[in-house]
Amino acid sequence: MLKKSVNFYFRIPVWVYMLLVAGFPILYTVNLSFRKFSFALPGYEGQFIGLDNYTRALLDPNFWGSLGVTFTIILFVIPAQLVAGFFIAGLLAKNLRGTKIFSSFIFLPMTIAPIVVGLIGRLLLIDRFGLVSWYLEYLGIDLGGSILGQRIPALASIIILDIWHWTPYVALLLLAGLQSLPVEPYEAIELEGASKLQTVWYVTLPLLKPILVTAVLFRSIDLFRIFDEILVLTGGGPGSSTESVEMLTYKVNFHNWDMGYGASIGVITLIMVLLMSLLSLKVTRKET
Amino acid sequence: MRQIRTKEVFITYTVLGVLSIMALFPYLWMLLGSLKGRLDLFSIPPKIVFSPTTANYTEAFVHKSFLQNLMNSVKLAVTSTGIAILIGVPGAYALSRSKARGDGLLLMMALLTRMVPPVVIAIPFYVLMVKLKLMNTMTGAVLAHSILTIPLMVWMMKSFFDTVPKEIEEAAAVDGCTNIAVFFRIVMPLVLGGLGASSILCIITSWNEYLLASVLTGKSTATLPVAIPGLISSTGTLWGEICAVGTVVSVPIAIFTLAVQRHLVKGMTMGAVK
Repeated sequence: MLKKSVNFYFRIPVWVYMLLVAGFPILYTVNLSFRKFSFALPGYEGQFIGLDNYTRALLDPNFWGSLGVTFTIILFVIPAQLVAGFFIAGLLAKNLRGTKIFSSFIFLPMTIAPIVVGLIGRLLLIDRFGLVSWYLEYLGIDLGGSILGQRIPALASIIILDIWHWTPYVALLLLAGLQSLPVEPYEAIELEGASKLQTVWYVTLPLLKPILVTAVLFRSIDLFRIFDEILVLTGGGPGSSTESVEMLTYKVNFHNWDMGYGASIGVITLIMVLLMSLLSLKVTRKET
Repeated sequence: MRQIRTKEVFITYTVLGVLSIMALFPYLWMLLGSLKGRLDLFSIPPKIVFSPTTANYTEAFVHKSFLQNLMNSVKLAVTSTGIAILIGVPGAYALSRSKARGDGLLLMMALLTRMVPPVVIAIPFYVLMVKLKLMNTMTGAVLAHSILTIPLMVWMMKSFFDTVPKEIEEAAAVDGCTNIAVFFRIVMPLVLGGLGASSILCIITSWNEYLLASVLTGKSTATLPVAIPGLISSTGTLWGEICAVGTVVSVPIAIFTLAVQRHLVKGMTMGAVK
């Protein structure tokens, strides 16, 4: 039957492509993680060394440091984005006239290339000349030096920058969620004379749970890979206090050229991301 | 329906206005910076009123090679999206119209490519490009970016195809239309809008990407985002030009995004939220 053949042949290009161009590289990296390999280091020709790279990673303070940086960022960014995003979504959901214009302004930051976002941040935070630095000096607030040159202000800058960059995304998700909510629960609770706050707590938030979980999951996965902004904002510094996991992996692979080791860190990161996704699936499935 | 009181409306508009300013301001600051001469950029206090100049744009795009980088970005985005259309659209159609055994696995792999840290993909591609001596071509970057665009295209187009009722195809078949013809002359015209939106999202994805593009391109094939850090140096960062290039990188995308605003949720969540 012709219909059957269309369904078969149309699938082939995607399958071939996914296996060759996506599946194969990932398997290659996994394989590489068990070897000593480098373009630059002598003697690193791809010998099999079993789990040595992985034990090295688990004992590497740089690795744990970068995990700390990444998780700190996630820990501060996501709650802030959820709250801000929910607030914005609530305002936009009212659908007053002119909401469209406001939403196109508010959604702008998430369309900007991450590396440009990093540059905008750096422009604002340059020592003395940056708008933010100058304003803090003007207000008499002394941070003890440059913002980007100190551990905590630098990390805080990255956190604030990401909140600016991606809150619109969370707001968009939550807005879509709010717009698809059923009316009945609201009618029921209004009959009982509930206040606005009670309505949100007992009706809106539980109904939004799957979308909230999705938002948290997607943002966590994205934050695990944060790289561009940090590259131009601080380069990982001062020291390695803003070095995310992705940045460390990049440096190990393409600055140190220690690719076997770099591959192992990448695989560990991938496994963590997969676990996070599985965890969130479990959480959503529990509800159904 | 709740009655919305005037005071509530007023407060809502005010807050929305403030939020809009917060969203736009940093971006506008960069735009202003692109029009500032060197003295104005480094003035204390920072200037909002100044006499604008286009020197930064001419310096970056005419005197330096950023026009080439711009062309590279366009080439890369268009090519990886083109591949996504050729491979992804038929696949999405098949996935929409029938169920086959490996479908779940295929969609899971598609989701996986969206979750994988880019470095994991960068390494094997880099090694491959070095071994094949393709380092200064766009081949590696195109292949790597297609890993990003194809799953996106498949997810989005599948949901668009799902909106086309099967009855239309069956009616055409009864009239003697072959399956391929049904696909091209009946179904595709109905999802043309969706195809446009999906393509724009793919272009945006490729255009904004940095890590893979920087690893897999050389000096003459570098894309615009990749070329920007070259303006940052210990001897003196050329902020005017950085702002100019940054503006050129982001303005087209901002415009494109406005065009596809309606479909943004679908694309950015891979169908997890409808």
